[in-house]
Amino acid sequence: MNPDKQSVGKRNTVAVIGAGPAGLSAASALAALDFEVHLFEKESREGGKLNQYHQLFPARESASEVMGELLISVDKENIIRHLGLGVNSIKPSDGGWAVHHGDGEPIRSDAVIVATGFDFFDARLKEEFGYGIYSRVITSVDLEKKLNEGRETLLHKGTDPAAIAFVHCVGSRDEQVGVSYCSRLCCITGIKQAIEMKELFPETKVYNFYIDMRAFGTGYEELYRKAQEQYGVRFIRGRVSEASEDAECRIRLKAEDTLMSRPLKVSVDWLVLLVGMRPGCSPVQTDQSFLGSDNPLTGNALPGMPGVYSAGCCSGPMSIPESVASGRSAAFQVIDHLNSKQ
Amino acid sequence: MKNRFGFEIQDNRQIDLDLADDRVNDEVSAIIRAWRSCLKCGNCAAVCPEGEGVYKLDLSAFLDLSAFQKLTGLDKCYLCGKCQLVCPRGIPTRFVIMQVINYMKEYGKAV
Repeated sequence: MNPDKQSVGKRNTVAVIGAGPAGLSAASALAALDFEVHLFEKESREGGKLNQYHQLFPARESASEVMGELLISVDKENIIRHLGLGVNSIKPSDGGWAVHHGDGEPIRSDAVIVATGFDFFDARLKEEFGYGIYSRVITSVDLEKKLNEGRETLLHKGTDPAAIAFVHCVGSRDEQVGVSYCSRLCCITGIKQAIEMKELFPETKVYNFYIDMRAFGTGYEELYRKAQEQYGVRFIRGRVSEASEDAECRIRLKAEDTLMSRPLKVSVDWLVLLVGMRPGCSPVQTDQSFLGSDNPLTGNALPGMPGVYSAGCCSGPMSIPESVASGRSAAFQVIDHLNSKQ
Repeated sequence: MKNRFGFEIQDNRQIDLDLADDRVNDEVSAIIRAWRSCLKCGNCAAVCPEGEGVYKLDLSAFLDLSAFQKLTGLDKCYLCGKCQLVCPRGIPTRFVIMQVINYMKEYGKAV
């Protein structure tokens, strides 16, 4: 910043909508730069989807420890937290934005960061997998919960499961359910959870049914290889075509091993569906899609809304470090925007 | 082969993982762990001068015994090691082939 120019900061107010990893990082960065930050979270506590996870790929940090770290970063007096308060709409006001929330007068802010996150794909829409019908078909999110609750929640009639299968791309790259994109993070989630299953139950056979393995991030491919070599997780290229329940409540799967060019069947004690990411709802959305950008390669300014930026998964599937980086990046774009107005 | 009604009945090609006899691949991958990380890229098969050996093996660490029995070309491998030079996962393919042949003999169903 130009030292001669009166810099932005103390006099300015910024609203951050959503207190997941992206929103918390944006709020923390803005507060460190002396802004007054109004942080809105529709749920009763911060964290968003991070609260539902057990350990985080690829290094297996505990989700609650990462959460604690993010919470400390927003423990600043110039961050005003509005928990349990959703934002209904934002409207242009006096060169900035009026943030209309569910409780009283709108708050006027100079800029807005939208960090409203995503929703998980509703696995019931893929009826052939029987989620919500068979008790032993669960999603990757359910599995994170079970991992938090402990090993005994995964036993089958008091004994270790004999076999567990993961299905990749449930609600990703699937025109049948109107999802054309890749959710990016389910592959590595499947690898991580397969390893966790092998650690809890070393004798259990673990199968991952995939279309393509997309282990794109730092340390992801290494974890993939570790799952194969060290843990003996079996990766089968081919999509599970149907699941049915047998008399013992085990799940029977049919698939095609497309590398062997042979049909395949197997019975498992748990079928885990790696659910993809869907756009959530935010006050700036008119349809259910991820938020676009005016400058997708270099920033995330929302089209036609000067001073409004997206951060995190509301603009597309992102990992936690990507969300954090995106939140901080949005904070710096706010500074650029306010400086350019002076 | 056609039956007397003029129909052909083919073998069941379905893999049944519940019944799979994994002894050979379990024992070999316990010795050569890297085998499990085969990407099935096909590089080994593409360079194979024999055209039968490693190509038929398909380097799948998870073939079951009945599938191995059908790998009739495996004993024709020259053990030249070209496949090993090109493997992106660094799998000692020549050693894998020798081990597979040994274990198939041990289980009385030599290739």
